[in-house]
Amino acid sequence: MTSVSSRTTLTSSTTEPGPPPSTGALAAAFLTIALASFGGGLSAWAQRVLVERRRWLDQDEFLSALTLCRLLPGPNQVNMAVYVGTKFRGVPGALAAVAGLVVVPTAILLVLGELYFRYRQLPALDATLRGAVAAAAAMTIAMGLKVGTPLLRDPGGMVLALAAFVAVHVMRWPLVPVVAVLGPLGILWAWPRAPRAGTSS
Amino acid sequence: MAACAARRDVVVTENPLVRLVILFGSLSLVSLGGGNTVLPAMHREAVDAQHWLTDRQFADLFALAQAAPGPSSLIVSLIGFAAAGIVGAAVATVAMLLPSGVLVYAACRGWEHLRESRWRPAIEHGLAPVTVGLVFASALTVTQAADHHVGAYLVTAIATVVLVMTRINPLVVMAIAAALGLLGVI
Repeated sequence: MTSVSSRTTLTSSTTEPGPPPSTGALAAAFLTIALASFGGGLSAWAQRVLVERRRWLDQDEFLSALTLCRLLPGPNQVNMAVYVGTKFRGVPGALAAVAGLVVVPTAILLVLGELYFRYRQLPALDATLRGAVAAAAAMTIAMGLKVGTPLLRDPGGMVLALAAFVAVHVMRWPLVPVVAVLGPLGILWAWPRAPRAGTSS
Repeated sequence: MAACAARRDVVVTENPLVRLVILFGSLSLVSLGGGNTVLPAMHREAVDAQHWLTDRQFADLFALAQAAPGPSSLIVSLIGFAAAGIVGAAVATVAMLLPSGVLVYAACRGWEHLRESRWRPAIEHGLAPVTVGLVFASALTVTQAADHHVGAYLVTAIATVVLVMTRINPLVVMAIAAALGLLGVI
């Protein structure tokens, strides 16, 4: 028993998926992501919870899903919840993950909205959120640095990342055409190293 | 009664719940490339056409939805709430999430079919670096939009270093930053 388990951890460099999470676990994970993200930084929290903590997705799957979710219509993180929920538990999983992500935050937002409509402003909340927003921005930058570090050893990936950054942030080009060009280039770059069907673990 | 009749002249037959379903049900499917692309359309309907909100309220509620926990697209719940109370909030939220959700679900099913194909790892490896660039782009956009003066930039910079260099729970960092905001430092 011990020798088998130690051998599998040695040979599997990627995260080995355990049993698929229950619908309750999916809802709980996305509720955690939603509640932690006051001030913003949802993607960074999703990366932390889904990849680092629960190990439901490996880094590449998470990152590519993030861009695919942005390309499809609908809010990114809701799409990510549908993706993760569907992957493990089909329709019930998708419903549970989306419910986890939106039900409690909607209730919180309505309470805040009601206070806003009643008192016209939310000064203390406003000040608190200003601090949280500054830290949430840091959360996203830190996530970028974390997931970007492996690219330092990979000139091709570095060029793709830089091109995407310059196109969207510096040139202000819209996302869809940028990914329509860089996506295929990335696939071409990754193709030689992609495992052939049946050879993957 | 008179107010009710007066309003009826402006909005001819439409029940606000029906307007919410039409508005968000259609925006749901065109909100490509992230939610903010449909914000102008929401503004046009909620402020200019239906007068559910004033211009100022719309801007305030958008800031609230962005900073509150959860997806910022939940501003649709607040618009629904302003239009028709709690029921309006629920109707607006479901109308916004259901059509795109069904489409994404179908896409995910197709994507799962590719699991055995060589295309799947190639797409995943190939899109990962592009995403890294996009994450940096959003991070800087958010920072520039949120941080209006030196104090805020300093908090973002210090928090970034702390988050990268240490294993402190990010919630602790967020809480400290929120406290600094409350104390008026930022």
